[in-house]
Amino acid sequence: MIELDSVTKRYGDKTSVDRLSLTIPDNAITILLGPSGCGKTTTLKMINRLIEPTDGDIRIDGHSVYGMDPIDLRRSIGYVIQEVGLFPHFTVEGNIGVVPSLLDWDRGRIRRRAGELLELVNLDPSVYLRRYPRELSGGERQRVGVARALAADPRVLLMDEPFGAIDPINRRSLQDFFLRLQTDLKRTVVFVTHDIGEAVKLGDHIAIMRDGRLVQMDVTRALLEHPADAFVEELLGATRSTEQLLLYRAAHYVDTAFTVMTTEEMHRSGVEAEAPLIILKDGDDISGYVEKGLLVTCEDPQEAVCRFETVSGNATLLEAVTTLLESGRKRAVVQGPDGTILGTLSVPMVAEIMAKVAR
Amino acid sequence: MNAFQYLGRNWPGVSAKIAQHLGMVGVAVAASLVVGLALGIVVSRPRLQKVGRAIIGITGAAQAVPSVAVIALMFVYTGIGPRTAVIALSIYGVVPILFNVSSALLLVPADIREAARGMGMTPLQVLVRVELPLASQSIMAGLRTAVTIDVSTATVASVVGAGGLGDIIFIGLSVVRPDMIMAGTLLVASIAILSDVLLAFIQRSVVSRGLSIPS
Ligand SMILES: Nc1ncnc2c1ncn2[C@@H]1O[C@H](COP(=O)(O)OP(=O)(O)OP(=O)(O)O)[C@@H](O)[C@H]1O
Ligand SMILES: [Mg+2]
Repeated sequence: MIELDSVTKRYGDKTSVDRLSLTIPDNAITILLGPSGCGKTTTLKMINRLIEPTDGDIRIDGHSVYGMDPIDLRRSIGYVIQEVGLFPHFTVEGNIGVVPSLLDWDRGRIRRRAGELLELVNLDPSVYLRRYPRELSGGERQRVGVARALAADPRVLLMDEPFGAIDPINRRSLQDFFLRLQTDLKRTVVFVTHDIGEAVKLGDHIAIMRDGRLVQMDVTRALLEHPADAFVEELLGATRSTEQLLLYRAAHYVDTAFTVMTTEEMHRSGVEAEAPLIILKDGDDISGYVEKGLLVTCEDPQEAVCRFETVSGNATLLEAVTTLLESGRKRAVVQGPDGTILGTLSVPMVAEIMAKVAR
Repeated sequence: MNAFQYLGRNWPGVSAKIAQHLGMVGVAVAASLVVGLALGIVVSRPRLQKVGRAIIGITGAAQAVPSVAVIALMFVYTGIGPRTAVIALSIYGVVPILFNVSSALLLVPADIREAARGMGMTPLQVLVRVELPLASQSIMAGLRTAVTIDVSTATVASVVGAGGLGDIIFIGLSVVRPDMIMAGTLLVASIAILSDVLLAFIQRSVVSRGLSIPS
């Protein structure tokens, strides 16, 4: 957990960050969102002490960063800067190996780690390890930038518009990729952007800043549904069209009123008529669900393996709706990456979400 | 006699002059490099950037001062002998090195420097691992200029009694021996070319290939 406690940064008589208090939860992506010049980068750089605040305190897991050696602090935090900032005189391997080599890892270990990370960011190590940054496309550089930040396995990642300077299609695929990565890695990420679409898509939590102050911080969904004031409302305005369905993550909108049991348990207990929603899970597979006494399973119960279609929690609402419409079912079961059932989604639910958001 | 016959017949004496010449240049270049690098690094620190920019202006202009003038001036203070020559050459060689070092270091993008700091490099590590490698191309260019200038200027050092290949040329001049003048000139030119080729070779291994790729 990172706590910013009434942090202020003044340059002369200009106040860039003004008594900002913010708690950034562990293992989730927190977005700092706001118009250009509102103090996002300054805030981020105060966390790794590239900038010293005029006033206030910042604590990581309860320890003030001002009690730590700034060099050690920075080596323990992954940092992706605006415009990537790869070192042009180092190969990709050299770039990824910067922090590990500062930490005195031996060469073999650095090389293995670099290879591992390249695979993680979907670049073939045999092709890319020896390349120089200037031999990479913009999107590849951004991936290497992310890999470099992850090199020494930091728990905290600070990312300053990491996908900023890149075309929309590539940006979207990098965002998808980063979400998948985060599903496995579960780092504490502070992610700066002024792109509301990116914020809604990636953020578990969003903190909105204006003129150096915090305007609102909440989990993404709550923020979208209950903007604190006209400023937030206007900022979010850009997302309020049906097209933005593809920004909203299914996991944030599921109906969590359900019980899980095996088909056999259901038959034995005879609760199917009363329970509002039972999801049938036999072994690892979802066999179907029972809603108000009505059993919905896969088409052919005789089929050896009965696999009910499910939607990943990271999928967008658009994907969820598409799955629902294609299968013709009323509900889709939304699953986390490890197979846990997060809840269900239905077309009317999505319509309702859109109606709320599109007020 | 032509120049080659002269060289063949007087080889022992000529080789001693070559050694003197190389010695003067070697010591002077080493001194210039140490001083130029050190000063260049100091004046390119963020707090001294104003000084750095002034230095770039001064050294840029100073390159127009004729090398003979520096030798003549040093002669006034330290008199006859190789010491005068070496000091003059060192001072003269500092100029292009300092110019290139400070301008290249000041040109290292601030965001690259900040990325390095943000990843937990100490100031010394930022300098050694990032700034100097990024400036290496330009530093090598300054060094090559200094070497070329010193090799040719060391010839003039003969007039302050420093020895070297200038002796052959100036004696040839006074006794009107074109073969001697030609021999001395050829040797000075060859040393200049060979040392530059050698430095070009070193440059290739010192400067990262990543920097020569067009971006
Ligand atoms: N070194 C500095 N000296 C004076 N003012 C500064 C300095 N650095 C930043 N500022 C000012 O502080 C404010 C916040 O800057 P910051 O870089 O944090 O903005 P930002 O939210 O990251 O903007 P962007 O989205 O454009 O990157 C800006 O008004 C900027 O002009
Ligand atoms: Mg910024």
